[in-house]
Amino acid sequence: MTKSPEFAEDGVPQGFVASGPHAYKSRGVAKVTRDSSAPPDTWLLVLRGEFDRDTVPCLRAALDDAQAGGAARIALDLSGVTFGDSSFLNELLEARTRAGELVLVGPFTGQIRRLFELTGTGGILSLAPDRDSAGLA
Amino acid sequence: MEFWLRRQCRPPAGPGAAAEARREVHRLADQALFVGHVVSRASEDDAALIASELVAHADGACVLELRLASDGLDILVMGARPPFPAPTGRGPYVFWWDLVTMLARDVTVRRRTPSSGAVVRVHVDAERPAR
Repeated sequence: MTKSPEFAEDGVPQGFVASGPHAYKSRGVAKVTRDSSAPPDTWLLVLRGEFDRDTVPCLRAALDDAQAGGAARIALDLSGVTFGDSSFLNELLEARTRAGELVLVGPFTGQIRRLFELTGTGGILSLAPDRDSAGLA
Repeated sequence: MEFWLRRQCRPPAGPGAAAEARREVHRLADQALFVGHVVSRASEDDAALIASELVAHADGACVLELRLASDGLDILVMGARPPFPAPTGRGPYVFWWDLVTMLARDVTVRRRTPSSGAVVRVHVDAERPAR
């Protein structure tokens, strides 16, 4: 599935680039790839890098694809996420209202754990400490 | 109050400004270590998030200044845009300014005047325990 090469928000190009099927990159520092080793009804998306207002579009595109692909369950591997801000958090909260089932898979880096604790995210979103406990390879 | 370290930068407006702000915080923390002052990893992370949010919402060119002193770390953004009341009614939602004020020890907002833009100053401790 391809996306348009430029994703503009507020008229400012976000530098979002589609790199091919199941790879979504934001220019510079954030990347989402689909891990096909997951069970068939699950979309396992692996996030790497720093997710802020500028780079979150690549996550949104991946989540849109997962929803369009009929995923019953979306698992987001956040173990490689070194930074997330309010935009990232709100994208996750929004994803939960759209997906069938959403689980965030750790282990989470310090900054992400701090973000979740500060905002009580664990009370709203499903958090799994690692892939095993999420039922993934 | 004498500052141990001070860094100032003008992140280029547009995407990447927030990332540049975070890099400045990490450079300051590295520099601090080099001259013998410790900024804990936890405080560095908090400062990076604060600087990132303030610069992201400055809507254009702003000046970021970081100051490390014995009582902690100051993050100043000249040209910042502290928010009007937050949007509501969209289900669970975290407002960026709330994140900044939750992490800070204190926050000072100097409102815009005809001759100068707003300045937001956020203070965090340099050594927040990691857990």
